[in-house]
Amino acid sequence: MKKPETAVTKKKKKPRSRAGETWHRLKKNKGAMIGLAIIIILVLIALYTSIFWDYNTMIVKVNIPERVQPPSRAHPFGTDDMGRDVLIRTLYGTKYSLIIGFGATAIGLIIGVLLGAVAGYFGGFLEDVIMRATDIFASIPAILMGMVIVCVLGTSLPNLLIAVGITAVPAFTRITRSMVLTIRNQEYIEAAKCIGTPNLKIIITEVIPNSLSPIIVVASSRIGSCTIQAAGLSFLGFGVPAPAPEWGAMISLSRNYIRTAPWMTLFPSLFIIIMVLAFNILGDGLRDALDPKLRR
Amino acid sequence: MKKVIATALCAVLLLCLFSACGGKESSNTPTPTAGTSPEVLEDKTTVVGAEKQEGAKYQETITIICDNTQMAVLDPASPQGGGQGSLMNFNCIHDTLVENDNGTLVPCLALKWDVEDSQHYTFYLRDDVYFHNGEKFTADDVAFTIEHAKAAKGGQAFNRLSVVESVEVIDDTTIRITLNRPNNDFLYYLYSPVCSILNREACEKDPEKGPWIGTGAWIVEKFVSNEYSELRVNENYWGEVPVTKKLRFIKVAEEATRYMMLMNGEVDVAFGCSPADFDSIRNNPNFNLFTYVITNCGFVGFNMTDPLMQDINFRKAVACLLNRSDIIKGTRYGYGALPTSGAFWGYTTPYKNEDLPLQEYDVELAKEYLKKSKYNGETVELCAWIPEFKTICQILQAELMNIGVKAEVFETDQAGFMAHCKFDDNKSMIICTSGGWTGYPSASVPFYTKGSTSNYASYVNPEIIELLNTAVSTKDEAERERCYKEVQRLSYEDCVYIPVMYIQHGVGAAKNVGGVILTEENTHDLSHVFKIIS
Amino acid sequence: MIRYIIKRLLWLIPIIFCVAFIIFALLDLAPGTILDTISTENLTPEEYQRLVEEYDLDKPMVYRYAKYMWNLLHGDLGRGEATGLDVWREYISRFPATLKLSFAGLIIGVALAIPLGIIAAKNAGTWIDNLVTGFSMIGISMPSFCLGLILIICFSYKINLFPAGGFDSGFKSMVLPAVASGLLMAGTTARQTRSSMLEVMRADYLRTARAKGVPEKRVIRKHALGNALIPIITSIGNTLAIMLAGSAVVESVFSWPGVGRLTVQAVNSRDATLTCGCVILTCIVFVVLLLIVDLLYALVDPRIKAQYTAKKPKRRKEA
Repeated sequence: MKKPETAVTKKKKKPRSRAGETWHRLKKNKGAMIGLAIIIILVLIALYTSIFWDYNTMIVKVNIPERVQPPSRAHPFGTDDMGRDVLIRTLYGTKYSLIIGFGATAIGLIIGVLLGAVAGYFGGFLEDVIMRATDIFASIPAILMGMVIVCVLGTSLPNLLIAVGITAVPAFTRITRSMVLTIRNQEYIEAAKCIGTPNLKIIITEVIPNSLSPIIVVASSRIGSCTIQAAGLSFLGFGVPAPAPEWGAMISLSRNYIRTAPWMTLFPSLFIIIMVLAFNILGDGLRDALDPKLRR
Repeated sequence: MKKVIATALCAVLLLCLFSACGGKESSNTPTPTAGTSPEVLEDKTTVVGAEKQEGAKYQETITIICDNTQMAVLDPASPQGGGQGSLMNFNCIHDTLVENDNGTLVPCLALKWDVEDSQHYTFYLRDDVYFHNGEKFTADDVAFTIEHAKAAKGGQAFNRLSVVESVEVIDDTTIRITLNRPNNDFLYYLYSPVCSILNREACEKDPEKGPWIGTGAWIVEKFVSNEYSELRVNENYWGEVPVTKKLRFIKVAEEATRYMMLMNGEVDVAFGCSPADFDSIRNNPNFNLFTYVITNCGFVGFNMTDPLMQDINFRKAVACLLNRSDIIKGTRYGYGALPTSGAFWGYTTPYKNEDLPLQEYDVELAKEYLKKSKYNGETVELCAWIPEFKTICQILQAELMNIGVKAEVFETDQAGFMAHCKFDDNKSMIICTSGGWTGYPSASVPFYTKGSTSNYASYVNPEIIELLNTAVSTKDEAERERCYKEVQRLSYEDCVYIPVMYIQHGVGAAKNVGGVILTEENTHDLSHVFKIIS
Repeated sequence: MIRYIIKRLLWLIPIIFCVAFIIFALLDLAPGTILDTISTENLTPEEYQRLVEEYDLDKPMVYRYAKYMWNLLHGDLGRGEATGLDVWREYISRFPATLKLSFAGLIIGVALAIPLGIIAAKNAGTWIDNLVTGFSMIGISMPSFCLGLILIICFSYKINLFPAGGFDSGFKSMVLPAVASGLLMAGTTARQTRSSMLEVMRADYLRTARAKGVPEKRVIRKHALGNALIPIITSIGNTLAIMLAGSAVVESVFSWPGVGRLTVQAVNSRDATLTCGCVILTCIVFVVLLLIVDLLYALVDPRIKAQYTAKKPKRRKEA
């Protein structure tokens, strides 16, 4: 017998998991999708250039007779002060900036959010200690911190990641704590405590997800500032060793030519802006997608 | 959301348009040729700029930008007192016993002097000189200056005056100085601004501001460490009183900003502009560019305690990879001078050995030497701290990788560099830097002395040390020449320090600025600078 | 409330101890010592050794640290090892400059950004929103020296509106550096304002207020902005930290004689006394600033104020 078709009988949808729900809502946000697309393109560029391009002949080879040439057909982005093609170096540099921006922010986020949540939730002496420790770390000048960490550990990409990541922790700690301060007296926290949920579980399942919004916004801005901070360290010589084409290092080294040969600073800057923009838009989209109040 | 990206990119492009406009205006800069430019001043000291005119009106305040070196302390004897900014200040505020006029010593505070052997000197001093605080200049002040420098323990003044064993003040205008051993260049030591004469009463009363009191044409009004100094003219100066009333020396950290401040008229004289801007200054009818080659020799050195660097074939291979004209183009935009011989020596320092041929750029020969050497696939490290030399390291790295040598660059700052290349614990391999050369030949001594901080190569050759000792103390001029030239030859054969280039600096000045005295040791004298405004 | 403030200020003491220790440890680990910045060629080995002893470089770092803290407790910040200059005097003579710069940057960062953020939130999705967001993106993603140089090229060199450097011309010379350092804060604050306003705007209590008939302006100002302010204040506090730390870069580009430059120079000469002095003093300023930020939270959110002033709950005896 045929089942009677009623308005009620529809295809049974499996209830989506939280992540699935988030992804579904993210897909609807055009801007976030564009941001994601840009990031994927950058990742692909980074992968392609690091696997298929020959570092020695394409990136590092010095070519003095062709130095400081304005953009032309042979060199779409011009050449730098050593005669190297700026386009090729910029594309290759994608990998450094992606790794540093993303990785350092991840380090800062994981450590910082945990510390901030603990500080905000438990309060009292623990909160004081954590917040003052954060203050201490934040007031040591970043160049000193970065310089010494890299000096002691050596100049290389992972060490630069650690150096920049550590300086990113205070921001996350502070914002997490301030959000937790607002949340911890809410009724659902009290309810969870009443039914005997262990503190750690409360922090992970209730407190952190509800404070996620500003954390995500901070994280997406942090990626940009981590990249820029790495630029400063690279310039001092405490970043990826020269002549690696890290965007920040390229900008810093060309700054004497900014008046006469602006293309040398322009194109790496443009790429940094595009990458930061993409992460920020994606971050905004994620924030919208994760906001429980928006659940339709 | 698409619009966000569009708007942001539009704004960025707008900014790019602004800066690109600047690019177009100088995008047809002629590619500079390596070597000299028309105004290269090859003399040791030269007066440049406009001439003074009768009845002209002069600008009251002149502002000068110093280059990036330290201007931390205004005490000539301070161990930190060696930067260009400090030296220019000393030239204005103080006087020395003797002065350098294009290689000849002329009297300044000392009217005449007797040299008994190179060990005993008697100076007869001026009688009509007063310090800025009113005290009279006497031989006791000279004695104090020497004491003060010897007490400093380190630094350029100490290096020069520590050779003095004893001082005898005979009367107010006569003083007898005895050195610990004969030294032919002692008189040349004294013309350096770090040997400026200080006032005993002032310094003993106020150890910090006392050294600001001098006998010179300018009086210190204000000084902020490493930022700026302001001087006003000393109307009671014993020599010619300058026509300008106030001087300001400022430090500007960014090279691009220096150029813009000069063009804006915010400053009148700018040292330390980037060579990328030199052509723009020269082609601008309202400004002059004066270039000068400094005597300092930029070189590539090898750490002689490192097993691979001890192999002379490897060193010779590296020596063949120096494409000097490319290096000068790449680091100085063409503003540099090629070495005339293979000798490691100052640009115009006397007794240069011109018979040693400079190793030309020859990749095939380098490959041959590399095959003969003990190189076995290790990674070679190049280190530098000065920006131009960091670039040279990168160029050399590319050349090394080209012939199959793995190389990496270690960039650091000055303190890190000095720690890296310490004599007893030298961790470097190949060193690219520039050394402390001056106009007199005994400047070569620190490069070969055991334990010296300038002996970056940790190089000890007893024969060289012996020759240098003789050269410094012998009275026979021919013998001195022979010794110095032999030192250069031995160093050349050992291939330890390879000269790369001599840097050509430039100073930009407004068209009607004059009275600037440039020296090859970067100790310029601006005490009589002026600017004609009508 | 007073107790809370005093408690926070008392924390300064352990903070100073820890910061000084970290600085000494870091400088000790960094390659090179202060003797490497002085030319020591003509010193005999005995004289060199005497120099080493004078700077206590042969003693362990803890000894130098203890000596420094002993002096500090007597109120003596010491003299810079390299230059012999009095640390307090050098810092204090440059502090007004940095303060002016940070303050001007703060004004641009906050006074411009918050209204812009509100406007963007109100007109979410329109071209106004996109313009503001675009502008804040640029503020966030440009390195400050890059921005500074571009500003100098555009507004000082091409169009001679402002001087390119120095500190003397009063108000005019402050504009470009303030914009360069404040743009980062303007960007982050505008974004943060917009996103918290957006969040708050969707809240139920606003719907209630509008249903009650409260005029829109009051809805925004009293109800929406108040609740949105907390993350905004936090982000301002964060960015202020970045500005203070990064002031060295802006100060270099514009030759602004401030404290950031002094710290960098101290680090480059491995001068532990001067570096410590600068960092400790900056730290104190910083902690006070953060205290003010936290007090602002209490002003804005009565729930947090209650937490600060709450007495410790007495343990009730188990019945």
